[in-house]
Amino acid sequence: MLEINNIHKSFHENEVLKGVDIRVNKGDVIVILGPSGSGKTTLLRCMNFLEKADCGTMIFDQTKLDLQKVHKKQIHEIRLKTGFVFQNYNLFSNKTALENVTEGLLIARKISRKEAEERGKRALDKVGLSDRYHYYPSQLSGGQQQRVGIARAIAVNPEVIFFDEPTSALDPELIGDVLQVMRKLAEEGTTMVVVTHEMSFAKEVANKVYFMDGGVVVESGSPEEVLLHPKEERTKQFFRRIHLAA
Amino acid sequence: MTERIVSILLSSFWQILLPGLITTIPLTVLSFSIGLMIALVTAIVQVADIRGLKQVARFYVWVIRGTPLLVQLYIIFYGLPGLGILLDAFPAAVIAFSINVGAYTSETIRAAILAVPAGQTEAGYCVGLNYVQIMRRIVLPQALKIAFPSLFNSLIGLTKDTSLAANITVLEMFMATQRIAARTYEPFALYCEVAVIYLMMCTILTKLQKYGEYKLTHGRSHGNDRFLQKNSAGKAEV
Repeated sequence: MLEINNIHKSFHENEVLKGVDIRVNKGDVIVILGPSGSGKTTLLRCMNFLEKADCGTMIFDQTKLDLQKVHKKQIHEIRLKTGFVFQNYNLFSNKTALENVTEGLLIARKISRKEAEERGKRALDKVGLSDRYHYYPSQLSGGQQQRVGIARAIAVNPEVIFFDEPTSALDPELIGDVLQVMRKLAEEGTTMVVVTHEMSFAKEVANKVYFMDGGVVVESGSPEEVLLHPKEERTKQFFRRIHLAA
Repeated sequence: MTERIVSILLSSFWQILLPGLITTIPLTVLSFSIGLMIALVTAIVQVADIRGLKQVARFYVWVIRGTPLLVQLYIIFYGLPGLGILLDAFPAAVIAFSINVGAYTSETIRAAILAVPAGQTEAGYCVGLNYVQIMRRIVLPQALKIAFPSLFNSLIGLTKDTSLAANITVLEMFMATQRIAARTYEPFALYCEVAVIYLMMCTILTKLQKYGEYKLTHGRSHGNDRFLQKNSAGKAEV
């Protein structure tokens, strides 16, 4: 469904992505792991064109795109088919939870107010916020804000949702609620690409894990292969450090 | 002696306030409204990084902020006729004040736009909005709220600056006072009187600002706060 080949990205002199390939099939839950600065977030942002890749190709729904010279219109079309959940939620502060969720339906997809609100409420119900429709982001806890963020992404029925470290900004006791929502989405067959440090989520929910370091994919495979029986020294080292920390 | 001054002050009060109502206030409101539109365009052109126009905007702000308002008034009213452009005093004043206040408030608005977290713009793109929709629906409503106190500052400043229009023959409050002072030889009392009238106008504006700020921060979420209280009383936090 979605395939990225040989993607490169530099910020000034610093090459962050040095030729990464990634393949997402329908229904996949892909987790991207790796130390900070390894290019995970940049990869995710390039996939949604929040960063412009220097070169590489993308195949989305059988359409092949050259990432270097992709048109505004093509970007817009892909964004209409994808969802993005940010580390810092990035909710629209001037809009209520429900308005945050319906904005993309009403304005970008021109869906009637009645239907948009129904779909928005359904999305908020799904993330456990049925009693927070009319709250502004400033009146919600971090965990609730992030769940609104997830509702905003799922309300548009995207073909794939990108999660950029969705729990990294949360207090430990709020992480569980968010992960549970993501688990539920995965069980329902939502296609997800998740950058995270949550090992248990990777182990239990992912069907494919990519380990990145220094701008390349060092190792990829099933969670069991990568997490429990890593072949590469860099991967082993990373997990040793994490386990020590935990 | 004091009786004479009191009677001059009383009889002149309406003679000063009337041009205030029919000239100073319209001049201020009109110039500020036009200036605000200029400012909005100037700010957006810079933030959106529209090539060419951005440089024009920077140049405009640089020139207007770097030259005296009085000189700008003179150029437009006394200078432009030399180029064959003849303007009446009132429209000339409106043009000068609009251009002037536009340059200053454009910086206020630009800063306020930049103060809205960029992540919200990214989120807007991600849900499929385009730049114009994001600006109109997400960024500008928040930016104008941030800019509000500072914009009111400019409005209060402009109210008093309109007195400079007396120099280009606009019969506003200050010129009306000058005329009465010349007739009665009581400059001290009369200029104090007009100062008090300006002060009254600005006091009203200050109250309006307070009210507006209150509305902006509490007005919209007011119903929500009640809802919140009721909710947290009846139910544990989710």
